[in-house]
Amino acid sequence: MSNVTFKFDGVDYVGQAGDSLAAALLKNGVLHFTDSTYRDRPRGIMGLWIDEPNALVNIDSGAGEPMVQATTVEVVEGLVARSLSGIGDLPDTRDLSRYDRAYRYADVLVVGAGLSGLAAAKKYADLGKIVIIMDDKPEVGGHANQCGEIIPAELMSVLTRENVTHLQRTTVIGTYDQGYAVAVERRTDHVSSKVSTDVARIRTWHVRAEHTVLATGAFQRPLVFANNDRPGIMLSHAAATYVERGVTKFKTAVVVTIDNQGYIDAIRLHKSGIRVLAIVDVRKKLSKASNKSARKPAEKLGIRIIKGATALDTNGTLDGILSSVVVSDPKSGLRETIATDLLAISGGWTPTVHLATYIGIKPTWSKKRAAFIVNSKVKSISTVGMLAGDFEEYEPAVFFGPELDDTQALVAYVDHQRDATLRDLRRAVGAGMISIEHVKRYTAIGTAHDQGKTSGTLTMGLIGNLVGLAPDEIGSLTFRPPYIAVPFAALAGRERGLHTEPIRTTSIHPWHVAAGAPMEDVGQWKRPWFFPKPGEDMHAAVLRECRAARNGVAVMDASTLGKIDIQGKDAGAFLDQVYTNMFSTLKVGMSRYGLMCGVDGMVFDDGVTTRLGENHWLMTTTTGGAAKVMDWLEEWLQTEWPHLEVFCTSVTEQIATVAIVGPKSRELLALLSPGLDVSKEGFAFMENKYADVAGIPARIARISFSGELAYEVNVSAWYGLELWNKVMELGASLDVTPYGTESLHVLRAEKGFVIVGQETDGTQTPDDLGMDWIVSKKKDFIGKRSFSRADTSRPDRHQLVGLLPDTSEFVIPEGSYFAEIQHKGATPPIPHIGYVTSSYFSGELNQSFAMALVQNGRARVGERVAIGNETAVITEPIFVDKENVRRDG
Amino acid sequence: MLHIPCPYCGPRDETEFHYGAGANIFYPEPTTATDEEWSKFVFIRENPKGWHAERWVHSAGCRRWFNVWRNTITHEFGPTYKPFTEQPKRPV
Amino acid sequence: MVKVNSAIATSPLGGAVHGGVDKGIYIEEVPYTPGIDLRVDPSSLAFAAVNQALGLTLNPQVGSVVRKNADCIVSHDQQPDANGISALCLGPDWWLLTGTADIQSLLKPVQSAHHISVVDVSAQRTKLEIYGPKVKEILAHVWEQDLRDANFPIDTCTQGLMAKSPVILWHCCENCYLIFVRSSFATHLWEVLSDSTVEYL
Repeated sequence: MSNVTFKFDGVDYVGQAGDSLAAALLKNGVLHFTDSTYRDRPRGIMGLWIDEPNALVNIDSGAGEPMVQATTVEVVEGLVARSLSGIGDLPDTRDLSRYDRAYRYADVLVVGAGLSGLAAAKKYADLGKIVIIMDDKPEVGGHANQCGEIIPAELMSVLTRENVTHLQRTTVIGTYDQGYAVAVERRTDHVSSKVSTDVARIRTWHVRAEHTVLATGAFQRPLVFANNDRPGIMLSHAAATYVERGVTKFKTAVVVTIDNQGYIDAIRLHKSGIRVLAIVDVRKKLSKASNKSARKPAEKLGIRIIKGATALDTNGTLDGILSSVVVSDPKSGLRETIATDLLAISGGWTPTVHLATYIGIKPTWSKKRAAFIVNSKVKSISTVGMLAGDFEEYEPAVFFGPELDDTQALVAYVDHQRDATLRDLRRAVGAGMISIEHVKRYTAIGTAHDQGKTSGTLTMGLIGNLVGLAPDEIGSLTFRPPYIAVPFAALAGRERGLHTEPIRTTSIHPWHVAAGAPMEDVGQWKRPWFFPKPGEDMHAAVLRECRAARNGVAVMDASTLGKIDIQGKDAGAFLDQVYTNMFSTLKVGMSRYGLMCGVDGMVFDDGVTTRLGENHWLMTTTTGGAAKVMDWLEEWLQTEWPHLEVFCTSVTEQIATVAIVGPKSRELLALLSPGLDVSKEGFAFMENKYADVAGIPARIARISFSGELAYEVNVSAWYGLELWNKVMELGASLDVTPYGTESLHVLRAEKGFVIVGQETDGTQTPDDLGMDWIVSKKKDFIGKRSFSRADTSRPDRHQLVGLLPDTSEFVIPEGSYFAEIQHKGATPPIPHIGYVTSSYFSGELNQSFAMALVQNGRARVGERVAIGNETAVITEPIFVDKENVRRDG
Repeated sequence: MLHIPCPYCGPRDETEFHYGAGANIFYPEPTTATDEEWSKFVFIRENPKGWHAERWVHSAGCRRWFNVWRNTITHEFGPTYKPFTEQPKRPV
Repeated sequence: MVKVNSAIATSPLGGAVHGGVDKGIYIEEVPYTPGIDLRVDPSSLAFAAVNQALGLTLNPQVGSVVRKNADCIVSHDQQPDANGISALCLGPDWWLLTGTADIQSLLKPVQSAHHISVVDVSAQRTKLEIYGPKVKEILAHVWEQDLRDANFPIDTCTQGLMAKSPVILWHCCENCYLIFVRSSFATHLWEVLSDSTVEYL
């Protein structure tokens, strides 16, 4: 056992490695740990583990952690901690610790490595099952180990078997359906006080097991009497364990008990050299078995037994530390004050039922055990040990504390962390509350950091006493994961920062990065937003890029668009159903823009689809809609029209696409593909040709999203970067200008082209968008039937229009609502008539412009509207090249 | 998280699937459906407490649509059945 | 078969390597791996035609792998057999075909006579090889599916999300897995996988 130095509340201490901070402080004589949250009551350590309600600390060393129980912190060299009065601080520096996650499958998960858990693990390991056994404490062996017993070798050896995975310091924080459980393993805090960046500080285990054995044991509960919260008052099992392991602060002890456990712990204290002044047992007569196993051995050691009595009150020093206990016999009324250092309480065992309740197994009240126990009727869950009630022989009395008057009840603590007393319980019941769920919320009992480990059953018993019901008639204990507080970082694991979500990039991305283009997030993709020259801001870059697109030649990486390969003789008929316009009549080698609606008639995606062959099509979708559209196509083919001979295959990443845009695009294409007929007559709008472009086999489509003459060059993604490099190289003489998503948006908006997801939110029909021209009158298609619904054909629906602000530099913020002109400058609330979907500054117009959805929009063209103190005029949703002549170059 | 029993791939995590609402919803012939029939198809779905026959698609896996009985209270799964096959009896 | 023009081709990871064969875990991008997405209904006449053209019998059990002339390569000095085909069943009518054979040419005559779909997806995904005695433990940091051999033996494949990235995972031989990841996700997955090896190297 090596010594370590640590700091607590600014004071240096020496402790033994392996001790909890609580044990180390007790060994150093620290009794008064902190003051309570709401009432400033002096408090000390009461328990051994996560049942501890008082000794909360803030860890300031290492990664720092707010609000941890000192009973769960292992002292290490350099540990720095400070006591808390119930509330901690979040560290103001980032936690740079490493956290990770691991998935495991097993035949059996055993939760708890006490004697019964080990026995269960052995049983299944002997059968050859794959077993995972997890225990939350630093040491194997549960209570037996805490009592200093040696765990039998045949059980210990189970832990190292090949078919057994043993994880210590691992808390199962949640149990869920289908044998799924989540646990957190603490891996470095007991080794070092420094931040751990190379070894995961906490590993979150996600386990699936055919069968789960819950061996989660039990916590002791205290009793409720006046001034039951002083430093020096502890749970008896905890007190005996601390003393056995070297705490020498106490010379004398009184044990107050309701079961045989008190006797066991009294004898442990006695054997460690403490003068046990009395065991105060509320039970007068014991069974023959209990007399033999508990009372007689204590009497033999000369320990005084006070029968039929209990603790009523305590007295303290000026500092509030325990000095004596007032023992009372409720029958005779006799009282006796006994001076003592330590008051050890055995209020009964409360099985740890949480994990069972998470999956809906209700604990049952056992009067014989004065406790809620769990006997699982669920086949895949079994309970063993104290959880299942394996402590009958302790013969507890159903007793939670003596009768108290009002003054006494005011200082009789039920939930130490909440400073909630018997008086609060009486008030709740007096206000008409009986159910534990109501009382819990009214008094806050059970809602603090310790989640009512010591107060739950007490509360139910005390309410029962007040209203004359048995504890199980008060309601049932329901708990929710997590079982203990867990850092968010532990749940996130490695999914932090840049790896929270995948970052998707095209094959041309390295060029964009090297060019210093800021990126825009488009779903999971990073797309270049604009390509600033030195000294340019976004505004200047976009003006330059758009000018190049409309007057010279500009190029863009369009590889992110969704692409679906469609083959089969019925593909054309299928596309006729999926799109609002006709596709089966499209000639081989031609492309067509299509609009897709849901069954509700609302637009949900669009794109250009090309007929590559008689029975071969290539559909494009929006970048963000690719997966959704693929699911949609498959849904109709598999669940409605399986007779259609159509197969769909995703090829989004198979193909890289470079768009070459502008009046000089034809020239650039000619340089890239000499021998290709790029004349107006030889390469029609929406036509496709196959040719080598920069020596790379390509399919070139004459498609335009900007309204300018434009070509989209499609190549295998293996050659995307090479294509782009060659485009830049050969385009240098034409001052080829790369452009990003901002310019892309401006150019298409100047032409009034909608972007699904920008102008639409799932509530716009094609007609709303002014796209009646794309709705076929000749055929039925998915969603058409909904156009004739009353609401879909309402005359006052929001319709797509343009807006030109009167202040030409005023770029209306996207999403702005606007009102009729008479409301200019008015104070809200004012009735709005529409909202802005897209808004930019146009170099072509030398003024700002926007697209908007307005009630009765088409009838309002020419009207002025008010946006706060600004005004704008409603126009048709097209601003540049209204006759569409530029696309032919 | 919840494992859903894909009839082709076996039980898989719910994050691999997309939900398709109630099963056995009759798709009316659009050209002859009344407004009521059509609205019922587009908007109305059952929301039972207990066993619910519903559709799932294994998007991150085999991409197949299938139907399955699921208990909305206990999250148990009952039998799966492929499109255009007879629905198994509601589990007890 | 589309042969890569390596003079001008780029792969998502540039053939990156992580770890080492002697270091307990080894991950490598094997770029330009040929891939054909095949769709054919196993209950149709087209199925027999496809099998005949490929010279093997496709198994329509999802997760199965059928090989012809395509043994696992054990060392880097070994060259793959010519005309090899591995068929990974991704769906009841869907296979990923990969290998050294000119699969597209073999299937062309079947395409013109039958309703099947043959699509070159060689660039759609890139292939990572991950190998080493701790490979299952390392993968289990990012892969939710059950990797125990009883559930996922050699020569089975599965699809799913690895670090939120769509992949096909093929248990190709002892302590060795092949990951076909969608190209745009490759950098992210590579970084996450490399990071998972931190405590094992």
